[in-house]
Amino acid sequence: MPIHDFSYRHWEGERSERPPALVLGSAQIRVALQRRAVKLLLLVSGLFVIAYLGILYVETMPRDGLLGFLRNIPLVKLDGRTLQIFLDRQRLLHYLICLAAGAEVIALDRRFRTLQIYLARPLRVPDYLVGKALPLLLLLSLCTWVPALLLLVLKSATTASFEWLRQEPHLPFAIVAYSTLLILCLTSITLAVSSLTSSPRLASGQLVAVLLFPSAAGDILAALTHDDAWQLLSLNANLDQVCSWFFRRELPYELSPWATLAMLLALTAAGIAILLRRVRAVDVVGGS
Amino acid sequence: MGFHVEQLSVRYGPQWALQDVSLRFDTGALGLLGPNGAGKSSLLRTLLGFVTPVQGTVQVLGQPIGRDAYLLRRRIGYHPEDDVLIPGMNAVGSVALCGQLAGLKHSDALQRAHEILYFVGLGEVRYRQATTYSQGMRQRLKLAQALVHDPELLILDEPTNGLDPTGRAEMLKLIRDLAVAKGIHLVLSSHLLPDVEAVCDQVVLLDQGRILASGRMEDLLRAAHAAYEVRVKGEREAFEAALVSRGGTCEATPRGLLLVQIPGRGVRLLFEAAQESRCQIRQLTPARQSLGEMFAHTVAGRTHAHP
Repeated sequence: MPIHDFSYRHWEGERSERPPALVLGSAQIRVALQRRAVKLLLLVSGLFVIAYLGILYVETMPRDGLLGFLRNIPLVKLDGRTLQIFLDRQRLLHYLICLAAGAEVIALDRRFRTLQIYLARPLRVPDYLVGKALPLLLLLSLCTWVPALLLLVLKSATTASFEWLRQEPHLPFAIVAYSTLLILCLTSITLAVSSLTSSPRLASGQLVAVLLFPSAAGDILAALTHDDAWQLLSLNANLDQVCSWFFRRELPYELSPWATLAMLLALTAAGIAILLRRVRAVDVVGGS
Repeated sequence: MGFHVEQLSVRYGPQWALQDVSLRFDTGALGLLGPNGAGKSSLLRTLLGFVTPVQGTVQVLGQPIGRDAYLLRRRIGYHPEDDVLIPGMNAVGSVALCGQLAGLKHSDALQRAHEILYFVGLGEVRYRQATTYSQGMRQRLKLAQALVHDPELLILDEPTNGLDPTGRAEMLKLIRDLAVAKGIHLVLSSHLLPDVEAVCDQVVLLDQGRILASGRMEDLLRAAHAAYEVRVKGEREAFEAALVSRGGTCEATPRGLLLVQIPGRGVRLLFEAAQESRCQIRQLTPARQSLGEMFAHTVAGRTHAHP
């Protein structure tokens, strides 16, 4: 394969002011959306939304209509309770999205030493991390606060009323706050686990262990000791507790919600600290 | 100006990587030479703004390296030594992404990616996943990624690793063309001395974090080889003895000549020795020393001086 063309041309265009983190993030999102598993998970998430659109449809039907009897079923109403279930019951889906779109992201970069390509550009470590986090942030958003808020907007549009806001004024905040906490916590844990190894398979295995093992341990220890304090170990329990707290529902565990919130924030911070330690610019140039 | 470092010292913990290094590179192609641990990588890291010097000043492309050193990397192209690629992307996508990261607009980056991939000889395979490329193709891809944003300073770390002889010759020709005809400041770090000799017009020889020798290639080789190949007619042993008595050294070459090294006074000393030994000098040519020999002599001299 000869190098047959020596017509190197100097570039004289204008520079783009687009943040490099966004450039990297866009490329990562395109790569993530090429994966079948990610597409399938988004489809499943879409089915949840369709189911809730069905609930909304039933809710706006006249009670004396053909299917009006469906309105008597307790859960067929789009309110704080059902939206909490919408966010809370998709937890497995969120974990699977992390697994499919996030577990391998930094591990693959470590394996192919891609960091050397990225950081030799005008890109700092935080830019790189934000760029790598963007696909997860987007995908998790698409199955948490985006559809939840959209459902509320549709409810207002179809009923031509903001009665729900008068009855439950905390709902928008609860949706956004819980979703933000969930997304940041899962993203930082996923990327931190991914940065620990250069093997994509090992990274996936580690993530499964990190997401499931502490939850199982928390459940077992809490059951054995009859003390809910052990549930602080469990990511699932902490998220359940905070979700119920934000949505002003009965708390599932005898735990201070502030403690669970602090635990989730600590996990997020630990993930970021691991990432900053594992991704270092000085490693860009190899050698001694 | 390519770069200018003044009394640069870099340290990793207790270990000095560079000590009191002063160097100026204005234009052309500069070769960085040195054994493992010499400080080449540390110098490259410093030029790219990844390490903060303990002391000294660094200016790259006329700008001091400071807090916003990363912005300077828009004007620098870096070809890493390691086998690196962007997983999940074809060559066009990965080169265009590198261009965008360096500040090119999406359409410009894509157009430039196609051009550069043709330039490095990957035009026909530019839509293939980079993971399926051979070692030689990956080297070319790294060069394309380093060039896509049209850098003013191009840093190449072992660019011919893994290339077959033909590919290596083509790559060196290409690199040389970039430095000579396209006006790109080029820094080449390589263990392959013939590569440096083929491409660079300036050389810096580093060892244990210090500069052993630096300057124009021609000057260094000339200074290092005060040596001549001589054919004499007459008593060869007497000529050798006369030469040795004047401080010169003499050794036979496989071609039946004498390789003569003479101190200070130059060729006049040769004729004095010939006159004393009643020999005729039938052939006298400057012995061209290779960069490898110069490197070996200089590093060996340093080792003897600082065991």
